[in-house]
Amino acid sequence: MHLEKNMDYKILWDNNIVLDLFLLRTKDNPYIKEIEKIFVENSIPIYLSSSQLHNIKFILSKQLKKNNISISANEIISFFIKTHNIKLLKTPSYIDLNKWALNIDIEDELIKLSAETLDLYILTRDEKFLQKLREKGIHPKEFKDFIRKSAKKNISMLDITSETIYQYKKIEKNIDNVIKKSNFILGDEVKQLEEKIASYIGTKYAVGVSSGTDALVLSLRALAIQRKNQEYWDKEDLIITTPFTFTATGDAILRSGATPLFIDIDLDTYNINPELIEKAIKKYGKRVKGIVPVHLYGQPCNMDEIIKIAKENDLFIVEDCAQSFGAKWDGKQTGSFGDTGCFSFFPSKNLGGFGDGGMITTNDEELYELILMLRKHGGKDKYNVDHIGYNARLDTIQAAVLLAKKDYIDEFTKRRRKIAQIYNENLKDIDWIEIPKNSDKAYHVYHQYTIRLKGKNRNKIQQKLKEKGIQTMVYYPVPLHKMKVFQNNGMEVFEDLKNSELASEMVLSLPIEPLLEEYNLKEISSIIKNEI
Amino acid sequence: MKVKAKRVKEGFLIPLIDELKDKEEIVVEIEEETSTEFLDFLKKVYSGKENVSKIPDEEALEDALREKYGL
Repeated sequence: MHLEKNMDYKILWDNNIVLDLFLLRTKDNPYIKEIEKIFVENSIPIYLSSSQLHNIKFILSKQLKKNNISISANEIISFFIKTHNIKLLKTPSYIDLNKWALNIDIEDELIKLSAETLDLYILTRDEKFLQKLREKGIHPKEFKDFIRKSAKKNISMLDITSETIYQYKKIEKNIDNVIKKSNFILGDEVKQLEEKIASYIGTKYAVGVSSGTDALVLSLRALAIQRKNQEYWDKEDLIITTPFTFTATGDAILRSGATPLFIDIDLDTYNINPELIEKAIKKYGKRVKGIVPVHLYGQPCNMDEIIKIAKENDLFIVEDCAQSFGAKWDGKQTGSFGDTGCFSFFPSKNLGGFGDGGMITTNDEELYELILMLRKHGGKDKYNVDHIGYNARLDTIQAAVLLAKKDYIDEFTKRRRKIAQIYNENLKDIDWIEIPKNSDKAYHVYHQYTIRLKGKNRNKIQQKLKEKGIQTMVYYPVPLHKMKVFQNNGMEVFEDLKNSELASEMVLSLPIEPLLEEYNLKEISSIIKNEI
Repeated sequence: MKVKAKRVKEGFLIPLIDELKDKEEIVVEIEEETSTEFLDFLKKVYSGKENVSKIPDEEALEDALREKYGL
């Protein structure tokens, strides 16, 4: 029995089910062989609580001994681990201790508590336990019906819960370490993550900060101190960026005291057009102080051109890498080209934490020192500060989560790129869809897989896909120069921004969850192709 | 409907039960044997036998704990 959309099957096996399999108890459980086959063929994880391990082993050993079977329990367990996708859950400490003193099955209580941590179902043939579990319990005889009924009906843009479960073991261990040390502010994990990211990106330094937005603000503020010897940029100072981005990019420029100078994008890549940057500099001259290129959707900007322009005009570059962790231009990581690179660890990002977080990468020692100060109230000594600083540190607990998740980033990037490849193959011949274009030098990490709709009503298409259970998003429906915050607080617009406006009206991002399977993507593509 | 077919020299003999009396031809679906790498492994371990446990799990656990704690 091959299942589809198996991401939602979260099932813990009670001891009796594991032992039914180990001892081939087909009389007590005639379904066990078929159940095991379904789990194996569909790579459905078998969840176990750590509290189950000892009893399963005790019972198995004794049963084997009583039946004079020469193989050891260890050998059976070892082969079981090798041939199944086992996920082990911690046994929570927050069980009501009074239950220990009651005449109840404490083992079941612990299993139930473990399962509840991830909202799992429990497969058991223990009738009493089933009564206690109510709708969260599954009897083996109902198993096939259960999986048919619970087949996932919706495909969302992301499934962060499934990702967390996939990576849970390392995350859990790292969080426990933080709790053990209780060094919640700038603990060892922050330093470890900074070193790991600096090494991965290929810069001398990395500084963990409270968000991707703060990474931009701190970078721009540090550059004002370094280049102008003043806390903030002046209002007449212009910083070039794209209007086709999240508001934080432009907002950070305003917060640093400068004025954003919006320049249009290249419609092929949705990134800032370097030719227009050159033209704008000719127009605005020395007022232009720097460039904030945004590697939108995970595709790097043309850094050859941008660096050349910046060097020729003595401009700084602050790379907005909020969506581009792991992306490369000509083999070099984004975040290693500019004076600083600014990363976001917002939960939905390619590398996302359990809350807000960010990172600044740099090769410039002076900037590094300034950013360290700005992150912590403005001084090396927080009781005697030099600059107008922030409370903008990356939490230790976030660093611990990110350290665990960092180990999966290359695997997940590969998965995202594979998803894009499958979409491309399936959507390339639809005449009303423009699939993403990839520059030869760009290693795109597909934070978003974004298509452009030609001559179609986007709202209607979104609605139709929604009716079919497919979530889509528009990044971004309003370009920055159309927002009140910039109109009221200062902006410059170079020539027209037609491409940005066009993109805002036509782009549509499709589900990009790295754990989606090929059949999910084919289903989405087929609905787009045949039913719209 | 499941009908037990008996092995004879030339093949299997299906009894002519009431439901089959009017039929000229029937199709028999042969279910594939359910197996996985782990089940094959167990088959070898138990020499093809199933249902090898003879005592209830509770009793096995009690015995194991008694042994562990020297009771």
